[in-house]
Amino acid sequence: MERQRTIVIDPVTRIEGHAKITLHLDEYGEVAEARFHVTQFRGFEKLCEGRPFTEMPSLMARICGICPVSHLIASAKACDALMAVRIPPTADKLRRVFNMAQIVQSHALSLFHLSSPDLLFGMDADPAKTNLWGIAERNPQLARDGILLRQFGQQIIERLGGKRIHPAWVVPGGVSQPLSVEDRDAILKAVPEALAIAERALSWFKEIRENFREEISSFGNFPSLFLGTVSEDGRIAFYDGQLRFGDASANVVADKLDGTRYFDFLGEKVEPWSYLKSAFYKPKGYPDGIYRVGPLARLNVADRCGTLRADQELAEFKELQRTAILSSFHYHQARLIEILYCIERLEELLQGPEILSRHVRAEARANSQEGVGVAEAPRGTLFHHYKIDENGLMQWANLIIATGQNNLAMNRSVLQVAKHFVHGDRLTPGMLNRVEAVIRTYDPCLSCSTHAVGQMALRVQLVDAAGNVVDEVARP
Amino acid sequence: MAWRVAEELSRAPLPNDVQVVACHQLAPELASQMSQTARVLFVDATATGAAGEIKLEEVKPGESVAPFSHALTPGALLALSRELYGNSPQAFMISISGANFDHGETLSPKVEAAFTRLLALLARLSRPEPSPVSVG
Repeated sequence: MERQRTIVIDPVTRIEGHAKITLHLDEYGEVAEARFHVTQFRGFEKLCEGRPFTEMPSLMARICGICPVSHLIASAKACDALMAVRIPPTADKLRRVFNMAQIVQSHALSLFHLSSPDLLFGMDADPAKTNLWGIAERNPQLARDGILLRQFGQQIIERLGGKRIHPAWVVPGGVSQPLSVEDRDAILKAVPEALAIAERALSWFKEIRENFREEISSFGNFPSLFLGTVSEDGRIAFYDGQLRFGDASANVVADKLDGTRYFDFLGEKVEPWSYLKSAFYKPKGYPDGIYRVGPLARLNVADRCGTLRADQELAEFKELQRTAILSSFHYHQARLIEILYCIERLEELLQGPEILSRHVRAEARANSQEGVGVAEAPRGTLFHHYKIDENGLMQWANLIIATGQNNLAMNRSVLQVAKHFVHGDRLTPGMLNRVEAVIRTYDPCLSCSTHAVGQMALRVQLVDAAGNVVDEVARP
Repeated sequence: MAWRVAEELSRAPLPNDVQVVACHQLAPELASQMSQTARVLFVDATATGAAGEIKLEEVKPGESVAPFSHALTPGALLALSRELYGNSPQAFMISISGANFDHGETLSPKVEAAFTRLLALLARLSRPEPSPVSVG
């Protein structure tokens, strides 16, 4: 048999968006290189040119159907900067509640629907079982919990924003409608059950985590920088704060960074084999300036969460390693801790006296021709940078999406997993599932497209240098 | 088409226990709501059949597993409702054949002409009658 050269996994399943993975084998059939290719092109930064800046939040929300709220908020903050306004305190609090509701529902989707099949059945399980029905059969409480938790977040978004997907409620200057007593009370009534689910899920995860020691040691387990937003006193922050870089030894590398000056410390590079840009920490250059964002990164750089139950979980989490928590497998647990924090925190905000104020929007025209909005999306730090002309029309936009900031790390993770589990003389579905599973730990949002669960509809071919198909693994 | 149906039904004098849910896809979260109902009517356009043709079909909880949880079939959603919550309501799919699936703001003439009949059918099915009426 002639030496095989390339293994292609296309599509990558149970993620948001379209991607493929290529594994390049050396002359001994071992993995020499691996690439994570994002195969879809969006072009939002170009198509918004010429539009009135006031349209940007609604336009940018259409980037995604899972995390439109993140784009609404980052975009609105950029517009607030263009208007040079400070939004009313109630609007600030409502935007925070909105953001956290989305983090709850997005994290719930990632863990309960996309990754829990692997965690419940194991990485080598029959794909016919690794879906919602399989979960329902094996652990109906887990399936119900995932649905309820997602519903909790979505219903908050619907009550505040008018609809679950692409709500138009967050606007430049604040939000368009105040919160009613009825909606506030309905949300608060649902909090206890949501908290119970989050804690139950954390208990379950910490039990089954022990079954994945090999994956923990090989799933993106390497030193890197971590980036997250923290408050003035070092608490985790999702809506506003200062950026902090931490290293693999849990040292603070750069602190109190102004996110609106991101270009001072973040660079972006385009590689020819993917539509996803790669971000890097400029002082270390490309690709040494690799860093991670999202739940694991946020918890690594934050001193604490600031709510009771989440802080208890965070303290226990940080005991997993004396350094920063390095393995990307731990993104799953970090996600659950963030869910817990968000539920606790939004309850606090909703119980505050100002939350029902009707003053929720500042009015102004454009007073600056450049504005940057920064917020923490479920997957990491999100930047929207706009430039407008004297008429308020968009001239230029740059978006740094959280997933792009994890691109270097995802590629390195795929290589690490592939080197450990994939050997070119034989292919098994479990090997390939692990390569996909490491991507799932990052919960990438490549766009709102498809998430296939259960049957992977996957065909992998080994093709030799002459173009002959010499081996094939297929699932219908 | 379905969005217009939802808008019209929301304004119609339906019984108090009837809820109109407009969504662009069927997600697992709907299973929880559905399990608490006695009857569910799914309304959608279809690309099969002559434009304006209305079909009424009973839907049973599906046996096959849908590969995508992004957009479940009605049968898959009913199966999830039964599996997780122990109840699968009586369910019907009411579909109307479309003529043009391109971007637009109005219904095509044949679908528009059948629209009133469609609404009347949905209003009758929304009442707690022992058996469904036939399409006429």
